[in-house]
Amino acid sequence: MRREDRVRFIIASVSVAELSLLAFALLPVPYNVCALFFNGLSLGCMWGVIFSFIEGRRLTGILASIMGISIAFSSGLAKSLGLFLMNDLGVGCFWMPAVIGGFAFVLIILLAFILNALPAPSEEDIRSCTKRVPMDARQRKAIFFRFAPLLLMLFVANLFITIIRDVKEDFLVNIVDTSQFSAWAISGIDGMVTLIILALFILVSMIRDHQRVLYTLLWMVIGGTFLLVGISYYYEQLNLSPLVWMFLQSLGVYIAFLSFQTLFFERFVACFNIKGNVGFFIVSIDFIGYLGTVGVLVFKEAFVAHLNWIEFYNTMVLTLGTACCFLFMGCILYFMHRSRVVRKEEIPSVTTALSLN
Amino acid sequence: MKREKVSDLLFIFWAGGAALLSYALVYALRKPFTAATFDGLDFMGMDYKTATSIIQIAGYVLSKFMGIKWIS
Repeated sequence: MRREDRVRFIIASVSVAELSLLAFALLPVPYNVCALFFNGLSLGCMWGVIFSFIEGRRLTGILASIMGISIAFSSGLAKSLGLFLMNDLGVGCFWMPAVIGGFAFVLIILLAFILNALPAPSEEDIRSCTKRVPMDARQRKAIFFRFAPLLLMLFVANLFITIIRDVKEDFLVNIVDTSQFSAWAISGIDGMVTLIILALFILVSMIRDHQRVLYTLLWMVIGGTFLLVGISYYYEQLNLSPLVWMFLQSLGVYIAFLSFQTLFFERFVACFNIKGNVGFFIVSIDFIGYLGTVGVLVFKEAFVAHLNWIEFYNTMVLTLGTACCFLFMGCILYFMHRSRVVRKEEIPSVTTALSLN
Repeated sequence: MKREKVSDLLFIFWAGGAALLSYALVYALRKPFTAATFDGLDFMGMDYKTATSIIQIAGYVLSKFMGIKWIS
């Protein structure tokens, strides 16, 4: 996408999103659910577009970490806002999304102009991160095949992580009995998780060597998924209170999820001197991830509707989480192998890019 | 040197803050309906709440797919 088109794209997206929420409020139940299709359709590219404003800069690592924390706390905050409107202000459950969306819609448009006023990446930015350029279909294919084993492992692992995250976010009220907490407890927990991850990521961003960042992130992600698997395996024995459980789940899921949404591909592009941009990788990973979420929801609805949620969740985390641990280990092995090859022969410019930092 | 640090910090607040807020607000357009349980409703034989999630994500996925082309 060209730089000039970004603001127009954002305005069009949020307008359609808010209109579809109005349709959700106005159309007769239950057919109003169809309006949500257009809500999803209009918002799928927002991360990529907003990210393109901050990509390819010397400070991108820190900026992306800051932007990324919104993923961890916003879902909880949106849920808390929704509960607050319904329980305390008496807004009906069909109008509530449109009311909240109405405020968000105006503010996003204002912020788009603020982002658009940022100066373009400087010479110094380009030297340390490689210049980011749009890619056409042929270039996308070439990049994919050049790193096929790694990208396949990451795509599958991210598919699993996204499935876990979405089932957790969308069905939290079914998995845990949330009626015993205040509306703000969920966002309070997510806020804490967010701050911890932000601190970790800012520390990682300070490492200059791109390859070391890639290794560090992969080990962190393995730690996170291992934590999830452990909690599911010992669910009965641990007998954690719902709040502690929610805290640890969010921590484990979001370390993995956010690494790939923010820092990982930025450093990957810089490390291997790829002529392209991060948006391509992030949007691809997202696309594959959400396909999985749809799959799980349909599967659950069609075949195991009577299954109890916590049992379903634990089995899911146990299987998918273990697979992720192995896949991420595979990525580490790939990098170890690749860096040996690259440093010896492949592209001399990569070695200079590495030593520059 | 010191001056550069101050301008870096300002830039982080400006760009990082705006990016953070923008995406947080996207969630306010996308997620509030997950707070409702929609008890007792159904859509074509499917639990209404599950239907809301599936239909919204279906649109979201389609959008991502087209996005691979637009955003890269």
